[in-house]
Amino acid sequence: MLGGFQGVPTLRFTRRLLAVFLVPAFAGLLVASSETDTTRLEVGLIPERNVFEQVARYEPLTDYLSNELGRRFELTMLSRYGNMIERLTRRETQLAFLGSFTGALANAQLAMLPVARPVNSDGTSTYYGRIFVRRDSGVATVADMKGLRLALVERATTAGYVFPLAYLRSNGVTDLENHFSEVRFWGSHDAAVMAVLEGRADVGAGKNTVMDWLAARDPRVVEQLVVLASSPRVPSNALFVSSLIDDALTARIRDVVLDLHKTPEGRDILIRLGASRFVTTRTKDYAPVLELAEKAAIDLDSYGYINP
Amino acid sequence: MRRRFIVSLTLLFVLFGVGSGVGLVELRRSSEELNSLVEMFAVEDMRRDLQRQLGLAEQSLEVSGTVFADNSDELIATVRELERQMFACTDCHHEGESLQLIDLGIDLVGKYKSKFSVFFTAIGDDPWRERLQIEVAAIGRELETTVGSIRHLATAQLSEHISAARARVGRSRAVLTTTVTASFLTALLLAAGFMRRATEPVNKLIDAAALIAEGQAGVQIEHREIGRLGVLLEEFNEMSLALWTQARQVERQAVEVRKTRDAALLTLARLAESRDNETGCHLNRISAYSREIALALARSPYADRIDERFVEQLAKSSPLHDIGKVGIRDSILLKAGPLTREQEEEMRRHTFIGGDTLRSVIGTEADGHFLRMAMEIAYCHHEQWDGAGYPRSLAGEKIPLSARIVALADAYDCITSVRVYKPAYSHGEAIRRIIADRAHHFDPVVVDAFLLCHERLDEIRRSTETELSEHDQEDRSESGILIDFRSDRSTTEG
Repeated sequence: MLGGFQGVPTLRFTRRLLAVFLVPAFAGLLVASSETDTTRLEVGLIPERNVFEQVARYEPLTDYLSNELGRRFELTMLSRYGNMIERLTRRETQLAFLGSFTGALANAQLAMLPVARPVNSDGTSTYYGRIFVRRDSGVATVADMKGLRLALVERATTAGYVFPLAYLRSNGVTDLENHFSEVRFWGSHDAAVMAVLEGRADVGAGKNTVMDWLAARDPRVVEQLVVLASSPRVPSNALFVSSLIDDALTARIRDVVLDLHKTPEGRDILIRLGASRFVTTRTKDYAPVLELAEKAAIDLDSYGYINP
Repeated sequence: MRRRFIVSLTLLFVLFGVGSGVGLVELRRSSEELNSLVEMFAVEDMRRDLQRQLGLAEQSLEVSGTVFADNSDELIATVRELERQMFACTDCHHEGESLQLIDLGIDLVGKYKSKFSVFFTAIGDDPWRERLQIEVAAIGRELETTVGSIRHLATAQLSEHISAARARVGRSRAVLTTTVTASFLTALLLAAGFMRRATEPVNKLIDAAALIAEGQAGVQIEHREIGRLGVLLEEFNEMSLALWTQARQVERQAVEVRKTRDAALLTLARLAESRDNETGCHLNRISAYSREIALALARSPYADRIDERFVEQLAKSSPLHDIGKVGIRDSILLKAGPLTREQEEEMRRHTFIGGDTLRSVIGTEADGHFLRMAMEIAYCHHEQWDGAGYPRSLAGEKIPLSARIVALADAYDCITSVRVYKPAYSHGEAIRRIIADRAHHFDPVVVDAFLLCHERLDEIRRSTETELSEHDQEDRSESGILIDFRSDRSTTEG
């Protein structure tokens, strides 16, 4: 790129001058970066919405953690829900913002521990799953669903898979393929909602938060959809820390995120995340998820699959 | 002057400010231009990264799953940086073509981000996902092509912008150099002008003071100064005027003093004359004779020593030649018969008495010449060319010319006038005797001058004789006594 400037003697001289001074400086930086690589901590994100926007939302938080703790926190976008455990293991990702089911899964298989989770601007820090149909479908029971098309989200979501599976099993449906004419994973909660709303599916499952978010933008969600069942509340996306990280660092990370709302810079970060503060999150908060998994006949210790 | 100074200084600052401003603006534009080019060219780095990332993503799209996710971090970072870079280019590039391409690139980045995110979360292998895959890849290729076009455009613009920037830098340098030089020269001219303006009155003052020191009191300085310098010049003019007035007064007083002194001296000379037995017009004739002889000398070898001033001073000082006789006792001065040697010695002392008296009254330079000449004459009018005279027996050129002239004039008057010890001889006899003493008693050159003007001397003598009484003439004419005019009278033998 700089080849275009070679016809300008002054700039060429400047470049040489810069080279004399900057080469040693860069060498120093390389040494420094190789040193800091040992302090690098990877923070995984679930692709729950536009991945670029998600990176932009979480980047201020990781920058803040880097400054406060003297370690280099870097974001990485985890693959779709189901492949996450494999990726966390392979890349030795030390921290991750995980959903309720993936968090429970990481806790069961990788011994990752929940540290804290954001409180939404409406004061909630939990969500629940919904099973919904079009109001004009006339469907009111599981029996009514026979032969219809089922829209799920992904195999590693509480609201979009575990809860409907548990609900259907509780209502006598153990073989989805036989009960429904089509069972399709739409990849995201909003995709599942939109599939039912637009008639590409008949029965859907998804998060209440996503459905409410869509309802605020599209009145058809309220007008044309009806909720048949709701799950118990489960923790919203929380920060999990690998058991390989020492307790002192875990405690420091927890302290930093729990105190974010106390500083102007921290409050700016929370605004970017759409949260008012972080609250402490413990393993026991995931008891509803474990119950749902059990009802769904999912063994968290051995649950594993690779999305196509 | 102060106002002019402020105005000039302001103009100088304005000149310097405008020049520097123009130069700096040009430099700033050049700098911005190059910075924007550098920013634009940063897109090329992004294009390369993007090309690589898109290639990997396109391969991974088909594989999907974890492999795809492994590449996504770099791709997300690349696309975000590309978007940031393009927004930066939008701020600094305003050319239509560039702007259109960059806007298109930003639009494509937005589309790519949206479609990529949808694909990222999509699962399954149904046609919908395949369509998403195709769309993402297509947008990616279009994006890559667009970024490549931006890069090509930047390359095309590079040489043009660099040439423009270099020309602008050259212009800036010229403007700054001209400004600095012009400001420096203007400052020098202003400084020289103000220096001259500031020192002019002082120089005038110095020149005027020098003129006053040379005696030209009353000189006035013309000026237009105000303030303290103006007051000083006015006071100087007043002082000069006062000095002139005082100098005139002193001069008048000096003239009065000189007149008084001259009158006193002349009175003294007449007193001496009146005590002697000589005729009352003797002093007038000596003066007239000396003048005529001096005028005749202007045509002699002594011409270079004779000028109008010499002639006038000689006429004025010659009557004082015998002023010393006031100090000679009457018994000697008025003795009718021959003097004894002692009396003769005392008589000769009148030359010292006269010379010393005049020496004591020689005053200012203005009239010093006249009195000095009178003193020389008083001392030396009895000296002789051949050294036989008295009181110091000087000879030749050692005797002042004035005394040599007066000696001849005195002798002529003595020969042609009546004395108590001799009668008056004729003009012809006087010529004969004077010629006889040429180069003995008298300077031969002076004798030659006398011979040139003797007729004029005779006329003067005759005109004064009419004032003498016939009685005196009869008593004293042709007495037959031979006198020696060398000592005014004959001395006793033995």
